[in-house]
Amino acid sequence: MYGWMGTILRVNLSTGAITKEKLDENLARDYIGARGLASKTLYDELPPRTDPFDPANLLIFAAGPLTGTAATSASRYNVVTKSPLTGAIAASNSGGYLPAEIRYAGYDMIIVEGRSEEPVYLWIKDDQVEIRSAKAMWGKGTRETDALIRDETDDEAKIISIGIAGEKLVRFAGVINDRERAAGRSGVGAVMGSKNLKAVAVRGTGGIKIKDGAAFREAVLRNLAKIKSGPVTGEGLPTYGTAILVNVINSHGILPTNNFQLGEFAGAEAISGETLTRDLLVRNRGCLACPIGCGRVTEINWEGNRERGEGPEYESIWALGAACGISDLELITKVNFLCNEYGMDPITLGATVACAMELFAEGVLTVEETGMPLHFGDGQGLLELTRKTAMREGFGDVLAEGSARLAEKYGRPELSMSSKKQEYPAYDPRGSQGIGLGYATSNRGGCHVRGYTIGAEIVAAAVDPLTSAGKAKLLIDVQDFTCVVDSVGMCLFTTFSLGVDDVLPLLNAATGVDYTTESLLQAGERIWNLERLFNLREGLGREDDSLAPRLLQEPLPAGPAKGNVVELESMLNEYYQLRGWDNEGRPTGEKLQALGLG
Amino acid sequence: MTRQAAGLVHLELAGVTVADVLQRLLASNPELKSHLFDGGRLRPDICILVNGRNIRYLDGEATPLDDDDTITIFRQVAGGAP
Amino acid sequence: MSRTLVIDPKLCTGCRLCELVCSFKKTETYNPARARIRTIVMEDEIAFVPMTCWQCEEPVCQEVCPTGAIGRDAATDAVLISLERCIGCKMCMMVCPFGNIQSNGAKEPVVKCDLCGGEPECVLFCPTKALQYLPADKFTLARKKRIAEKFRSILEEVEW
Repeated sequence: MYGWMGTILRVNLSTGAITKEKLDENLARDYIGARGLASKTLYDELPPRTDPFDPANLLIFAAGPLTGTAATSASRYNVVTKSPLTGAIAASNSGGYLPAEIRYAGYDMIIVEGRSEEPVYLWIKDDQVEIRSAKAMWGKGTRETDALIRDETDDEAKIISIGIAGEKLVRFAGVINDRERAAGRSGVGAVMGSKNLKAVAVRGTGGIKIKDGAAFREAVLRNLAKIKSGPVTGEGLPTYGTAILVNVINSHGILPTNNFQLGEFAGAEAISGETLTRDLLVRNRGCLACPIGCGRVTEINWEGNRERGEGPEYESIWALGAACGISDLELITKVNFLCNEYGMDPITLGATVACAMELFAEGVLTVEETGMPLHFGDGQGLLELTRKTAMREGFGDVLAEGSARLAEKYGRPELSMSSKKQEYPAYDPRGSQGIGLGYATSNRGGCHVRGYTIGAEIVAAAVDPLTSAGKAKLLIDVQDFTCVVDSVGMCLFTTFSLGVDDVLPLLNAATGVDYTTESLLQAGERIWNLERLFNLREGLGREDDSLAPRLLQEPLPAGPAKGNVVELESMLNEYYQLRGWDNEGRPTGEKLQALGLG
Repeated sequence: MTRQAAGLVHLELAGVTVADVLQRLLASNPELKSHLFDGGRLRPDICILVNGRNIRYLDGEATPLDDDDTITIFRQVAGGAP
Repeated sequence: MSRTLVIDPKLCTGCRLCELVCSFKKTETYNPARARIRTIVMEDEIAFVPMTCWQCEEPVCQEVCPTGAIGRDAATDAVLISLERCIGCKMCMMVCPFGNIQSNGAKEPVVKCDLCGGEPECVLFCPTKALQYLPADKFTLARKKRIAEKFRSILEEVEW
């Protein structure tokens, strides 16, 4: 095969069986790779209503047919499983070097099933695959695990690992690869922990074959020029990283503050990308083949020591900052470093602490439960709770369940700012209607990267963020195209400068398949619908395509979007209709037929 | 200079419309002209907010202003996060 | 005036696009393990340094080669290995003080950067200009100017 490596690695940790399977060419064409192909595998193989921590749950690491090539920012893979946070499908995306290494080792996808009795790690050296003891790494942070495993295997190996949060089954534990890159959301690291799988180490020395090398090279050069000349990808992200959004989003009055009680944060300037660039930035870092290099290498002075790491990115700055009313950028950076070390999603962590802070302000939570006063703005409190959550120590054990279960436990479910039990990211949808519909309909729960309408509503200002008209159509287009980008193995950030007709020639030249604009976008739509079918089978439905009551009932109290709520009902009806779904949000037989899902 | 390039200029000026304010801004900061305009027209990658609302969805450069209004100008260079 | 491949680690973001396009040009596959340029990633400092043959003026690889397989290209000044004469003894690899000659197994007993005949693929794709292919005098002048700028700000800061 061209583009695809053509082999799937399957490891059963219960039996120790290691098998290699041929990739089905038709499936590859229809589901592309990475997010698409892994979702199809999960849908076909996972028995319905399986508990996410049951050994029967699958944990899939999947790269796309462009991952590891020179295609702009084609560094990505997806970690796909049934989420212990949401009960829905989890597809968490990350870049770095590791995803490509899986391909150089000869695989498109690694499927892990079963559960090991003892902590183990997987060592993949090209076609040699071993299950090894990870007793020496259990309880260690992700950086130390990375170093220990490279010592035992190959210094050139690239490592996926979980930290303590994954071991302790924190429901929003992520997996870390290349020490600093995170497939952070939806608790994929907890599933890895439930399998007693501490790490996967990969060294690949093979190459990726391209069907039409000259055409591919031309397409890469063309896209490279577009990325370099695009304002966001050529200037904004390289100069300031994603944190440049702090001031922009705050100016629009939609930087959620104090658990979404406000849309403007007085401390925004102190946690902005400009401040980060001035005070903490050491240099930019790019994932494999990425001309953007949004990664921030930062350094802080912490208790007399200089600590160097990566991030924080915009969403983390917001969750650990504005969401909790915290404006100490150095502390936010430290907590972000800790999240990488513990292997824990900073978005859900910050949002869960923010929820606890509001419960505390409401008098629902007291020092008796929390063990400490917990006011908005309390950075030291956040720092302490970060450690306790990762360790499931004291009140941290409650936070480790996420905000939905926390708020439910204390009788105030409406104070969890989440959809499908996953916390929202850093945009108040009351001032950007499309992203509200996006949060509600995202197949993995509250999330911005399933359908980033912020690009059109705020960044490019191509549509009025305050109106709900036309947002269903906009969102559907973005969702389907994002499925394509995630499935070929490119980074979502390229879409600030590239469209489907820029991805198409890369994919065709690499694989030799004759996709058209239409058939490629239809593959995206197929993937979206398949994820939906998975969720429906798990018992989710229309009532789960909703938003926290605050966003639907409490108008934003001040700022540019003052007085607005999310007009969800009308957008959702239009969305179902345009999707070809019935009133309950189920794809019609006709739609399934058209997509080859019938 | 970096803040100007990033487009975060906050000035308090009394004017009648956005266009008037832009004129006054350029009079005192002529170096901004090439950042904001392309041959007399506002560059398409420049966002101007009045109290957080993009003037594209108000009355454009003719958007009227009151005493306490805040104008924010930035270039469309911001991108999201994974 | 011949040109030189120059690197600026400060500009390197560690994207390794140079490795990818090098391997593709030389092996028709994307395979960094067979690239003739390598970005060294320093994990603790999080720093990146692209490393490739510097085309030495007095190449020790050439001196030790027992079959005279190593010589200099007249047009580009690149130090080249003739695979016809090479017997695969790897002496050149052993003596290169920078580790910039590598062995890729039977098909490529020893390989090194050949500057792609004067149009280095890595330079063409490098998104941050961390890699450049410049006339030597232009490179030194550019650096002089950059340092001079620093000198000026320091010297002018001091009041007498």
